[in-house]
Amino acid sequence: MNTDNEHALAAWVEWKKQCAYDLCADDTKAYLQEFAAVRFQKWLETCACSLRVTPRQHKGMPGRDIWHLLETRMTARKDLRGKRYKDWLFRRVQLSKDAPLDVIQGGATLILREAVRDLLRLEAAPGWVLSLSQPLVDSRDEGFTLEDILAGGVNPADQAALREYEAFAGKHACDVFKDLTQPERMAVLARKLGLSVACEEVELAAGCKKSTLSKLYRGFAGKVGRLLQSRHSGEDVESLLTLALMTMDRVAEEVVLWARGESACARLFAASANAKPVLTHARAAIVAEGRGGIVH
Amino acid sequence: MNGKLPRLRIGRAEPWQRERLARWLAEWELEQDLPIESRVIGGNKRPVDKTLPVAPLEAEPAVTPGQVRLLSPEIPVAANRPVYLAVLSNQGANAFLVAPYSSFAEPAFPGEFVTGREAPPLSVLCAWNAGAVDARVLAKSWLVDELSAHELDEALSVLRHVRDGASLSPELERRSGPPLWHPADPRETYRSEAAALMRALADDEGAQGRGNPGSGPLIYPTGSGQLPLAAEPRAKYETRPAPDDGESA
Repeated sequence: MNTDNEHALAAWVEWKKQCAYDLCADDTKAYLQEFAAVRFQKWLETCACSLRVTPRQHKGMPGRDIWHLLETRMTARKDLRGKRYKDWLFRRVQLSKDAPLDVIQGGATLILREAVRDLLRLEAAPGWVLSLSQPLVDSRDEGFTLEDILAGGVNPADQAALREYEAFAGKHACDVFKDLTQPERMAVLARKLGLSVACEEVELAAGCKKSTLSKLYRGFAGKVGRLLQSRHSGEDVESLLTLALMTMDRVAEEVVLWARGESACARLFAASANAKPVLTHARAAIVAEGRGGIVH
Repeated sequence: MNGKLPRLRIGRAEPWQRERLARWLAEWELEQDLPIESRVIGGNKRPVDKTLPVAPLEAEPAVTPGQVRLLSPEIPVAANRPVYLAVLSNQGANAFLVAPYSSFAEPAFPGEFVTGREAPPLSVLCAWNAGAVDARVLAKSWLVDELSAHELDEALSVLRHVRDGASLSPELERRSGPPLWHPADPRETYRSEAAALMRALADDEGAQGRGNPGSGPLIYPTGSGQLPLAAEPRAKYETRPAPDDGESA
C-alpha cells in the first residue's frame, strides 16, 4: 500500500476508534471532509439538470457539514450502539479481496449518497414538489402522471354500473390477450404474481432484462388505454381509466391461466409462493383531473 | 363491444395522501437519478484482520422480539447497504418475524408507516414486508436499539391491517402511505424490489437443513378482540364510499 493510501486508511481507522469525528486529529478530519466534499459536489453537478437544483446552492457548504450528513444518515441513536453502521463498514473488508481502503470508502460512498438524496429532497422543496401533471420518471414514454396514479374508491351504490364495466372489460381483455407477445405476457405475469422484474427467474423466463420488462409492462398499459379510447371515443377520462384498470386485471387473469400450462413459467409460480400482498385494488377508479392520463 | 359506459361515482384521494405521494415520488426520482459508483462486494473472503476495529458479533445480545438490529454485511442482502430490521415476534422455535426499515423518508403505501423516530434509518417501517428469518441468520447482526411496547404494538397493528384486513386507527392511517392502485405506479417497482430482498433474506441459510422458515404461514400476535367472527360481514375490497357521501368504510 502506498503512503497516501496508508494515511487514508489510518484516517478511517482513527474515526472508527474515536467514535466521534470531533475527537479525531486535524489531518484525519481534513481527509474525511475532502472525501465527502468531492463526492458531494460531483453528484450535484451530475444531477443538477434533472434535479432542478443548481450547484451554486450548495457550492459553499462547509466540508464539515457535508461529512456530518454521512454520520447522521445511518446513526440510529446517539451512543455506540446506534453507530453500528461503522462496524458494518469495516466488516465489509472481510468479504472482499479488494484493498481495505477501497472497500471502506465504497461503503461510505453508498451511505453518503443516501444522505445527499435526503438533503436534496429537503432543501430543494418547495421548488422540488412534484407537479400533478408532470410525467413520472418511470413512465416518461407513456406519460403517466401523479394525477393518473392517485385514486379513490367507487361508490357502492354503483354496483350495477360496475358489473357493466366488468362485462366490457372481459370482452376487451380477450382481444388484448391474443395480441400479447411472449415477453409481454411474462411482464404481466410477473406483476400479477407480485414478483420483481429484476428476479432472475423472471428474466430467464422472459428472455430479456428487467429494464425491458418494465418498459413492456408500461407499454401494455398504454396499449390497453389506446384500445379503449378507440372503442369508447367520447367517454370521459375517469370512466375510461376505470375500464382500463379492469381490463388490465382481466388480461392478467388470462395470462395466469395460460402460464399454468407453460413449463417455462413453473418457476415463477414457485417463486411467488412467498410474495407479499399489498392493498391494491385493480378494479378501483383513478381520478384524472382534466388530463388524459393513461388514455392518450 | 363498443358502447356507452355507465356513469360511476368515483372518490378522490385525500389531500394529505396526495402530498405524501408527491414527496415519495420526488424521493424515488432522486434515487433513480443519483448515480451509483461503488462496486458491489461479496464472495471472496480474506483472513480476519484483527487490526481493523469491528465489534464482534459473538458478543452481541441474543436476538429477541422487540429489538432493532443491523444485519452484518456477510448476509448477502446486507452486503451493499446497511439493513435495519425490527424483530416483531418469535416464529416457531428457530426463527423470528422481522420487518425491514425503509431507506426512504416517506412511507410508500399502506403497510409502511412513519414511526415517529428522528433517526433517519428508523423513520419508516415496512410492516407489510415482514417475513420469517432463521435465527442463525439474525444472529449475524448487531443490536442497535429496543422498541417500546407501543412501537411494537403499532408495527403489529399495521401488519394485521395489511395481511388480515384488521382496522387501523385514524392516527396510524395518517402516518401510513397512500393506497397503491394503478398498475403503472412506480411504487410497484419499489414494492417488488423490496419484497425480493426480504424473500432472499428469508431463504438465506434457512433453506439449508432446517427448512425454509419463510415458506410456512406467518405467526404473529393477532391482538385481542380485533378479529371479526366468521359470521360477521366484511367490507368488500373493491369499493369504499366516496368521502363526500359521509359513509364509513
